[in-house]
Amino acid sequence: MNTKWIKYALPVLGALAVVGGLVNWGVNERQKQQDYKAYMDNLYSKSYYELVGHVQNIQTDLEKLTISGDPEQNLMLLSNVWRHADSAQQNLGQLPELGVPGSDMSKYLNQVSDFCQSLMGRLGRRQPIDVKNQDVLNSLLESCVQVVDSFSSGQPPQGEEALTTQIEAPYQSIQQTSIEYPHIIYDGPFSETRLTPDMTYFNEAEVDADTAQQRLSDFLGDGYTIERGLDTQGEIATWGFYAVPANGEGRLYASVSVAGGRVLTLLWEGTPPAAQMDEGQAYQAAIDLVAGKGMGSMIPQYRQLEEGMLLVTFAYRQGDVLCYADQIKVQVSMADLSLMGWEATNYYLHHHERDIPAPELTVEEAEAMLRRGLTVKDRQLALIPLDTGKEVLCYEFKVENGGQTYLVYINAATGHEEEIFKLIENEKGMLIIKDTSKSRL
Amino acid sequence: MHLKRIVTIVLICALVVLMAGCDYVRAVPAAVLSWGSRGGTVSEVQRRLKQWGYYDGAVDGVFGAGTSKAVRDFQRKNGLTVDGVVGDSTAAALGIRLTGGTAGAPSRGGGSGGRDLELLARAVYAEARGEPYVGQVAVAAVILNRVESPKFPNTIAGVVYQPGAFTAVSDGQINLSHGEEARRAARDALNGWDPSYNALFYYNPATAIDPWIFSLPVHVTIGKHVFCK
Repeated sequence: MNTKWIKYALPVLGALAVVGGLVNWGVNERQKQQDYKAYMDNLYSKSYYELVGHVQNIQTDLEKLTISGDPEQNLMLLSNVWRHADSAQQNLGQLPELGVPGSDMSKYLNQVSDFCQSLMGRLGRRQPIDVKNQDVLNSLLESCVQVVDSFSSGQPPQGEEALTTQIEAPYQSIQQTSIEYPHIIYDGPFSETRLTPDMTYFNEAEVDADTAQQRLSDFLGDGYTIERGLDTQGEIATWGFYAVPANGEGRLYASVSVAGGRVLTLLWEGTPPAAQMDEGQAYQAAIDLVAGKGMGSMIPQYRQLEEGMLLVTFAYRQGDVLCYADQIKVQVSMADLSLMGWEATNYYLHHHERDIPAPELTVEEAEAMLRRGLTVKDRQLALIPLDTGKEVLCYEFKVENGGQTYLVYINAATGHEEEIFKLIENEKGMLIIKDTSKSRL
Repeated sequence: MHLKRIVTIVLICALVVLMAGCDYVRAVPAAVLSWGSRGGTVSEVQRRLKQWGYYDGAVDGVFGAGTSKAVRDFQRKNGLTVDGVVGDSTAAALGIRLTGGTAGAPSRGGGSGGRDLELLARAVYAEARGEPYVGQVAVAAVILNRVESPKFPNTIAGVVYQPGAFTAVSDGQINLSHGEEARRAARDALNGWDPSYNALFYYNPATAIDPWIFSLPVHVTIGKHVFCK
């Protein structure tokens, strides 16, 4: 009797244990998931409320700027706005999926921070905030008030209500904003003028695909089989090709501009070649290759050895002035010295014969503006592109200090120090570092 | 009025004393600079004064009337004893060391270039492995174009990890280890190659669900991806 009862009870108990375990597991998982969701929601909320706080501070400081007349006070307020706008922009970037209104707000915050930085630069050079810039500050303030207003519509439910209702994330109100931000022009990397490139070379007569293919064939020389490839549309329209070398290993993607029929880009697809040549040979080959392209006086600048290829950058020289904006990049194979990479898009976006003023300072006067104790290794005139997109004529001094090499640029008209680059030379070559957070060449 | 006269007298006396002491000053040129001093340190003083708007003469290494006036203006504005002489305190206020070596040698440190390359390579691998090489470079270039655009975060990490921006980041594929090809693509993009021609977006028309993305003007189609601005 007893044994029979146990015979039935055991599977039932077993099944109950399994079900109990599953329920327990499910409850735990659900709890974990809710915890993670709450954790993420809290992080998003933190970013959102910090964003709101920073934008409110921007509004207050911009308002104070409209009534402050003292340069030092201006400087303090501008640096506050700059700092809050930068932080607000970072907070905004941490919020999920805000669509076009989000990216418009990001652009506004970047421009506010950037504009204030440019005004700080002016104040540092003892130039007051002029009427034009005061107008810009006013229009930035108007938008700021609208942004703050839009935030107030995004208040989440409070107290008991918050626990019982479906909480809609407050930051989602940003998706519904429709604020007209001002179109502002100033000296800074995010200015509208900076974002609009010069398209002179891309307004020339158009060539058809066959002509473009012939141009590419002439450019590369013999020994390539050329096929049609990826075309691009838009501002810079190109005909695309693939060029396969005679040995059949790998291929070059090539783009030729539709307007003007110029070879803009070559990009190697395939395994890197085995290095057989030495760096000096490859460097000379790069110089010879560029000299044969009829681009005028192109001066080699920096080089970098990368997996079977040598990358060399060249800048255009007009008279005795280097024009750094007109830059091309060339990669040469360390196996057979053939061309494996070419980047001339930026050259064609910037190149033109410039009206370069004679320097007002002599090289000695400019050198006297350098900080004492630096060993000057080299000096030359250069037209350098600033973050603002403008070009300025400078004396370039290659200096050494404490075993490090730097390039210091002294404005040839005013004697101001415009820019400093750090040069890094190692066994792989030489490259310049402007800002370690943005290491793009 | 009275005070002004006293200051003027004191200044004249100071000048006379200083002129008389010129030989002494020249004997130890590194310690104190004043009217009549010459040399590199004087140029340094003139350069600093010029940069801060106190001096508009030539940087010629000769301590003359212009330099002396500029030094006094500087001293007045910076709460120093107004004597027209560059001693230790005035030099220090100008950021110049009169004695001893030059500025300290900077410490050596690598840039963050390696980490950027690594993160970019992982993003390329997660988002575009199996795509044509040009397409992989284009994906890396889009990330860099976003860094430079005011509409997106201003660092590579900020752009890559922006919530909802890249599906392969949202589903954790970003943490897969990348191959050699993705690394080369990331490096070519960092070196300035951009087959997307300044595109800020790309999508796969077969899987994209946001109708807004289809309204953007198309720059180029590479493999499965449509790049647009």
